[in-house]
Amino acid sequence: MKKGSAPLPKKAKPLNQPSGSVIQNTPPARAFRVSIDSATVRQIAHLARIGVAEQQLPALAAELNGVLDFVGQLAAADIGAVEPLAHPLDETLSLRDDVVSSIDQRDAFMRLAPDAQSGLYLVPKVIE
Amino acid sequence: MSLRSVAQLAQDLSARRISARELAEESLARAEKNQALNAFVTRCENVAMAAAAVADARLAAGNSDVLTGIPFAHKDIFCTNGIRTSCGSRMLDNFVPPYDATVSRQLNDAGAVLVGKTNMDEFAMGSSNESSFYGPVQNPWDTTRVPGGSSGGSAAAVAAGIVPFATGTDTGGSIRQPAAFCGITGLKPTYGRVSRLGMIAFASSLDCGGVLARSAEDCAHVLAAIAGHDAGDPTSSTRDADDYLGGLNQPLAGLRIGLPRAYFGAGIAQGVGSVVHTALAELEKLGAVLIEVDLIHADLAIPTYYVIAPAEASSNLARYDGVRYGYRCANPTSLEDLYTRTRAEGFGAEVKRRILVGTYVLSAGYYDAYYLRAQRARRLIANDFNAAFAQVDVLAGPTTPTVAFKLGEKSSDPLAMYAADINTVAMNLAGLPAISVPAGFSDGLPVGLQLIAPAFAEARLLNVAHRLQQATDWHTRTPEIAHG
Repeated sequence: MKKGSAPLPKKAKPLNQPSGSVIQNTPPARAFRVSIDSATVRQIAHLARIGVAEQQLPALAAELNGVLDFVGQLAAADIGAVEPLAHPLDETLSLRDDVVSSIDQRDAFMRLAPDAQSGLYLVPKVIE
Repeated sequence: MSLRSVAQLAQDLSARRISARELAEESLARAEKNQALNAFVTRCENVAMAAAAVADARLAAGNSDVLTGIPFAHKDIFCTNGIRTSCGSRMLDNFVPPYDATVSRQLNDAGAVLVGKTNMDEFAMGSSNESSFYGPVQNPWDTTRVPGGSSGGSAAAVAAGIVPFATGTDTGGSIRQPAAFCGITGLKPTYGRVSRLGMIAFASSLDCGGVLARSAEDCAHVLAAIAGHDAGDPTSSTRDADDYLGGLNQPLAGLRIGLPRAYFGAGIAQGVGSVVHTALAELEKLGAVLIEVDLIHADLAIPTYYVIAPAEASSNLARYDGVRYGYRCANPTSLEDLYTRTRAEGFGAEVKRRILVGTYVLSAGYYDAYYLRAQRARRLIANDFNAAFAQVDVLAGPTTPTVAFKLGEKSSDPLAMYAADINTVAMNLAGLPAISVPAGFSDGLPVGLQLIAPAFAEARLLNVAHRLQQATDWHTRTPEIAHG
């Protein structure tokens, strides 16, 4: 992960991101008992692309602080520097044979789109 | 009918004492009659009758499997070709998958008859089934109480005698906890034992498909149909599945059962603890030896889980953007507006809370302090189990700290809800198989005994649970509603 602060993107970016996304006013990594405020919630919500009404921000900040405070117990625990465990399966992931495994289902998947035309997904205009 | 076991029903079917069609009709009628439980999001009469006809033809041709003609329900998280798969969310209220999950295909191939898709906490995030877009499910033992979650509809449907088994998924206890609350048997297999292809993702390193049924033997029949490697899921194990039925009657003499002190701690209701000790005494009578053990990092399990699960969820649920499938907000004014309003309107409060927590703990500057630290704690938790299994064959304890709580009792307090997962989340972190079996009653409500085994020792778990169920009758108790 990158550290430090960078300006938030002005234009909407694809959703598959959070790595590399940055919360402004980043405290040191060890500071657990952070109390996040409405501005931070607004920023997290922006990163997650979830609309939150201004008047809901303080209540949401209180809820998130409750959860973050709770998981902050990890800060006080004697965890040491054991190897992080990302995945429980102690096996090398298997590779498939390099053969065609499924038929073309483009039409079936395009039919699920809320708005599509000529085999393209339609979204509001991005470039003026 | 559905109070009979899978094995009994299979015998009746193959002897032609009853037809798959009759069983399907009976199951659908019971689902209809018990609509107030809200166990089903979708009932599929036509699909069921067509599958029953195929099953009857197979039975007549002598080309049947033990599950052929047996009615069942899928948790609405398993994709079913042509049948709406909502995951309990407004986001997928209109989603009709064009393909089957591997588990769906396996059960179809076995000839089991799908009668409906069951209600669940939204995207499997919850321990009470109250976060569903389709409303809460009632516990068949006391309709003012929760059935547990997130596989609450599946547990209620089995407990109410609507189906003899149902599928479920377990990310932090979502099969075992509702099984305990509803007085049935629920098996969470080892991570990677059952394919996740077509099982809608919540937290990909924790999610496990499994089964809820009336007995360990019935769980073994279903596990036999769904266990095994799937080339479509590279995280499914390449190990061969074991013979889950062949070893059910192994004697338990000399079996070492470890009792983690942490699982009998102060948070465990007295009634629950004493019921579980009674069940353990039954296992002792069968020759098992009880040994107290320590899982020294047990208290880290919940905070670790509530960092890792939301982190993975925030990443997995990024796909719901209103562009390719699922809900889209009305009249978006820009792409940003399309994303943010679709997600604000399509997701419920608990899902949004977890996405926001996950986004926060993965963001630069916080990643090391939360996510990386949680992954280290996860290693310690897994190591504790390895150390324990050097001394004992299985671990045991109460599945849940209390019996089923009242609807609404914890729905406004996420932390109280998370605390109810105290005895179930660690197995998902470590990837271990675990089963909840009925152990008796406290205040008239079912109590679950949880048994935990080393990775891929499902056959051992099922053996212990089956022997207990041969010697006791708690699993045969049914709520009033199942007879009405």
